[in-house]
Amino acid sequence: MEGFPSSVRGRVLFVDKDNLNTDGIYAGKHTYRDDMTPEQMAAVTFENYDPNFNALYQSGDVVVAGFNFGTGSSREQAATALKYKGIPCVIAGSFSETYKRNAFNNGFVVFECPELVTHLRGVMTDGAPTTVGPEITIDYAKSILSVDGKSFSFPPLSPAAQELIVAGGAERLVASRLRSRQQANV
Amino acid sequence: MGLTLIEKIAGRHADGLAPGTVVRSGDFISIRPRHVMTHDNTGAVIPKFKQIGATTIADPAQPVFAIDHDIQNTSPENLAKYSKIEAFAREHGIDFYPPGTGISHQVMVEQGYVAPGAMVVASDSHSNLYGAVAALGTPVVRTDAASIWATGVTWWQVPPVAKVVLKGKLSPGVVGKDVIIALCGLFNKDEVLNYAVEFVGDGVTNLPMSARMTIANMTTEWGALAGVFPFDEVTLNYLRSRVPEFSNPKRPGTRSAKSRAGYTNADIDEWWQNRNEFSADPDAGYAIELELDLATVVPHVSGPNEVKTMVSLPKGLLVVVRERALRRFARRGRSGARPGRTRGQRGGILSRARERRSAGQIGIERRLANSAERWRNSVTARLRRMHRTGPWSGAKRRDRDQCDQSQFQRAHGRPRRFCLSRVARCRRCQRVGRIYLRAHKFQRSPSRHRNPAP
Repeated sequence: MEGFPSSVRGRVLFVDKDNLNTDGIYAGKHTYRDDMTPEQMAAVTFENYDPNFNALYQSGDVVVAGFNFGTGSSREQAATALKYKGIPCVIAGSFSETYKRNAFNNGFVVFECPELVTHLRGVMTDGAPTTVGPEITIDYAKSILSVDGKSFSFPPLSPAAQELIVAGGAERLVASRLRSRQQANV
Repeated sequence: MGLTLIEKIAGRHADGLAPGTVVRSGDFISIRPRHVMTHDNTGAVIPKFKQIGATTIADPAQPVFAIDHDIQNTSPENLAKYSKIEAFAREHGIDFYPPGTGISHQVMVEQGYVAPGAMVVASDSHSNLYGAVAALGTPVVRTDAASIWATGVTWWQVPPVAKVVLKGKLSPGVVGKDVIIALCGLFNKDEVLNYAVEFVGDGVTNLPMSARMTIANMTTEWGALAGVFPFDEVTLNYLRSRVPEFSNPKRPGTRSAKSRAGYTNADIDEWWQNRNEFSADPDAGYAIELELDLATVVPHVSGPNEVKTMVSLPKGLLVVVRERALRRFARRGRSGARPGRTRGQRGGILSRARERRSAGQIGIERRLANSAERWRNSVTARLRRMHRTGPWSGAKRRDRDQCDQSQFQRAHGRPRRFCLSRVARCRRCQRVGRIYLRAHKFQRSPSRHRNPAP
């Protein structure tokens, strides 16, 4: 896929919770404040779920979550705050479709890999809300991720998602379409 | 294989497809929804719209602004945001509903933006509510709203469709909310996560529109992307009932001249005639089928902590009662009686405490006197006095119904069936003893006199 990073490597930050809703990712009290800067948004991620998350996080960590991640309110900041934080992608057992939309529309990569989540649940039995895990390497070209010497395959991103990620988000994509339409009209 | 209702509606709103193309679950399509609603987040969509580089709205009748989320916030920033949204609506000729009109999704249905077979989206997760009126209501996000403003379309993948068969009738006291809570709690293994749900079955005809709206609305929490009811007589009657409202002079909101809000009876008749277009084909294929017998639904409360668990109301009440009793016994000891509470003391614990505090340091004689007074006013002392002096001094009428026989006898010195008992001289045998009298029977001597030995 042109425009995609071919592979990503980082530490796993395992958020072991199913049905983690968007309020747990980005609190409601900030959602209707239009004046938050990207840095401010990045600083309050997961504050309702685990106040310790931001202390544990290091730049480039890959977040792995449970099933039905991002359920509930369709607030966009639940995806963009993670993007502004510098998280390369979120892997979960399953996502709320609305959360996936928000992610793709902002050029933020998310995909599902239930086998990885089950594997990590077996290996990391710490019980803390957020635990630091091993190194993970994600190969987008071959659709394989490897962690702890084990490999798991994940479904390649859908065509709409790829188009959006490559364009850098829906706004840029629509803007380029509008421009090309205007140029065609001229 | 036939088409589900979702596939049909999606097909009718697909943009850029060759005529006659059939749309199926899993297809990526460009959709041109009938309307796109934004609420307080319109304030966030406007900068996105500008960032796209758009200056005009593709179809000004398509967006609808209905403010409902943060309306208790009367800070200058929030009110300025609302004014900005209203100004934007005026500038571009978009229908606007100010804070206080109502919940945005309810406003959309009540003001006639949602028609059977229409696809209406909103940048809010509870757009599923539109399914109650046989429309496809599904959430989009803020960026999609901006795209739709600018181009009229956005991308959408048709989700897999789940069929939920509702049978029977609700028992008395059970409402639509209980149905959807039961569905969330019973089918809680993500059976319909990211699916669109179609409700069918004879049970649907027994659900009034309010129940349908409640059920459709909460399919969001169930994990579904849409919850669509069929177009039947209940829907028809609801639509007809809304028509007079559209010409009501007190109708809320401001609409542009080209607004598509509202419908006429002629429109409704036309939809009713073509209602096969608004229902699934008999041989449609569904990804999963679930069934619920409405008669077995018992009121439940969702939780604790998530909608995938629920507690039935009878059990919940039992738990509450038991918890309260346990806490009371922990504080007050096994009998559960409140300490220091005696009849005749006016005022509660706080006023007594205030009295004690304001009295300051009290000498020992005063304390003894207080204590003696409390004793004199106490129930036990009164009962003892009553027993000694006669029934009517100190006895209160209300005691009669509140205690059992032995308690009554202890309190009043006579069994309850007698109105009066006093030590007096029997008129018959001239002996002095306790006489029991019944006012209505006017009996004045003990039973041995009433029933003389043969």
